[in-house]
Amino acid sequence: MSITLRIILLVGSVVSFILCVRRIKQAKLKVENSIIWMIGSLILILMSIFSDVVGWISNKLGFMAPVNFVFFMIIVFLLIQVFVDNIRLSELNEKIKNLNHYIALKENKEKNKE
Amino acid sequence: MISLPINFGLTSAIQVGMKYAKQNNYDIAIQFDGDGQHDAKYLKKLVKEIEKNNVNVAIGSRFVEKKKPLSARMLGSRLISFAIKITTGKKINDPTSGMRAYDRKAIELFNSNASLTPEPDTIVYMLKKGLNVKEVQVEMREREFGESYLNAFKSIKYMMNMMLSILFIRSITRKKI
Repeated sequence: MSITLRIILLVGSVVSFILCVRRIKQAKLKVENSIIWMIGSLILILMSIFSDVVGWISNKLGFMAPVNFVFFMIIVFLLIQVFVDNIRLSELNEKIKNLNHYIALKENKEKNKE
Repeated sequence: MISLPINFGLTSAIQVGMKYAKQNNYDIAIQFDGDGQHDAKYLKKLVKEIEKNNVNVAIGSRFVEKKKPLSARMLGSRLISFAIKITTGKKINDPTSGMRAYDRKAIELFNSNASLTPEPDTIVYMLKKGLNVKEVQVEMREREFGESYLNAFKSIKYMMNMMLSILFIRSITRKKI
């Protein structure tokens, strides 16, 4: 990995880590939702520090260059995140819908009683 | 009249109706467009089908006795009909019809599966569950108020939704309830 990429990765992941922690402090992000980002940025920091290990692994796995391996990992991570978020979104949607139904049916019942 | 605090779309509205029907132990629930396309006088025909002929879902269809016109608008309808035919073996001439009557069994299905919509893929689901679906000839008018929720882009999205749902999701429905 080139030194520039290592610096970019390092700075980027440190910044995202700090942002994560700050958001939690401001109570804008739930701890359980942020853990995955913190782990992700920690791994990126580790990857940029120990780039030799990354180079070794990517070589063993048959990647053309270590940077490809890094990008590959990031893409996989993001894809999983998006998918999990999508599921969460659907679940929330379902919950709001049911709540909506519940309120409507209840109000209707009360109106009929009057 | 049940009014929902948040507009959550057509499917949600149908589902709350089905919940209401179940809570109040209704025998039949009717799905009906309020934009003037449907004529309430045909509803009796649908209900009669359910009461007399052991039908679970009666669909108000424009094309039982009449032929489907060869227009671009009906292309989608034909495609959906074809998909239903190859997945269930049953010919539904007017799958997109929004005038339907459901009996207790169908109401129960709506209550037990939150993914059911008032759209054609639900017909496939009901057929796969072993319900008896029958079409009844009705006339429909052009809509008097409002706009269809389908424009060019949405039509394509709707078609993709329906085809994917019918071919890959509803087609593998297990019969056991």
